[in-house]
Amino acid sequence: MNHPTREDWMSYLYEETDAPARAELTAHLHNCPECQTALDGWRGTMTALQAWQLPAKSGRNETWRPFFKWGIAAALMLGTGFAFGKFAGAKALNMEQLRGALIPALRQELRRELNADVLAAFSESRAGLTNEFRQELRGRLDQWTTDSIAAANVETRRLLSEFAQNREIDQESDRQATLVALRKLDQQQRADYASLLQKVETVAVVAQGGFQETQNQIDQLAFYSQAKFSANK
Amino acid sequence: MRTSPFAALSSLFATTDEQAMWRVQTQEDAAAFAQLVRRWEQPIQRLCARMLGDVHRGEDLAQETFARIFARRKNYEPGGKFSSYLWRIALNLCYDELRRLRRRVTISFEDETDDNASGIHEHADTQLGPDGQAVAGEQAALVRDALLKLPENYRAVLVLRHYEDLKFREIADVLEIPEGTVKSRMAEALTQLSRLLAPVFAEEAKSNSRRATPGKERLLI
Repeated sequence: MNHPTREDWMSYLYEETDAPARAELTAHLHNCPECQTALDGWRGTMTALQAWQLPAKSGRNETWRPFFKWGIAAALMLGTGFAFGKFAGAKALNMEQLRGALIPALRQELRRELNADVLAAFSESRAGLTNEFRQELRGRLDQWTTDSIAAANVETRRLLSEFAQNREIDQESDRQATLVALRKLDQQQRADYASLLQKVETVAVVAQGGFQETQNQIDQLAFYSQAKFSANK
Repeated sequence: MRTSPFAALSSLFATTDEQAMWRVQTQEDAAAFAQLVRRWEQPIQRLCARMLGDVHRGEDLAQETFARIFARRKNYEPGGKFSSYLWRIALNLCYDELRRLRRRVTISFEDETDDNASGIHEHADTQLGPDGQAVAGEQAALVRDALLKLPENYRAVLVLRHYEDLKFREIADVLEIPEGTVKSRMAEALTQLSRLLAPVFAEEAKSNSRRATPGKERLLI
């Protein structure tokens, strides 16, 4: 059987495992007495560790307070009892009258004490809860911030790579377009050159004809001039 | 003393440790430093007390930790978590103090006894004095003694995870080691402690059951 590692069990014991892994480890525990024994041992040690609790610093002055309060209450009771006994012995005072005089005062005193205790306990637990709530929220806020930053980073990276890819594609298409334009220009130039050549040849042929005619005319003129010159002679 | 919902709400947006430390670093803001001390004094005291096995020495070391943080405020790099930085400094001071104590123990015992591994433990016992008040009950003392027998690096992991409730990832950040190493140290620490505590607690349980049988008083306590 493949046993999970001790590191896995540590995450399991301190509840740092995600739900699927936890379920898997729990399932393994049901079938593996060896791991179960190891885990029980560690759990026992974890419980034993709780025996060493340090005194809270602020608690040092607080511990005597309830005892002090109840001490005063006890002294008060003893005092009234003593006074009552002395009174009853000396003058045989009316019990009802005495009870009527003492009980409301005692009741009021006790109620006041109780109220104060309840209020103190209430405010203490409320402060504790507020603190816990605050810590929890702060933790979540931190987690949320970290997660958002990580998500933003991932998104930025994705956008950048997309941008780079698009840019590559654009550049490629630009290059193609430029090539096509250049080819077209080249063809155009070739065509222009050919037509120019043709025109020049035409001009040359025409000019040749012109020259020929001019030559003929000059010859004719020379001939006529010569004929006229001999006739005059 | 009443805490209104508004006060609770505004405290949610209180300065973070990193912001406070940044103020201490750049503006030497005494109020911000006081705030940090208020927030962290007790956890650091607990860490030091558990590392040294002595509450009063722990308090002194916590004070020294904050003094060092302030004195070296310019060295703080705002990139990381302030708490990790703080735990790290406190732990380093604990290691220094333990080393110092070990040296002292070695010198004072070298003529009488062999240099054994439980030197700190013995020293802690002889030097405790008023610490007896801080350790409530016999079992607590047994646990403390067993913890002091652990190697320091195992003890640090155990105290941070078990008592101070840091996550393994955070401890890895404090100690600047991989998370897997933290977990394996934790496993080793718990295993060694099981070995150290099992006989003690088994004996304790037996004697408890013997004492509990005659009457019901024991159950009421």
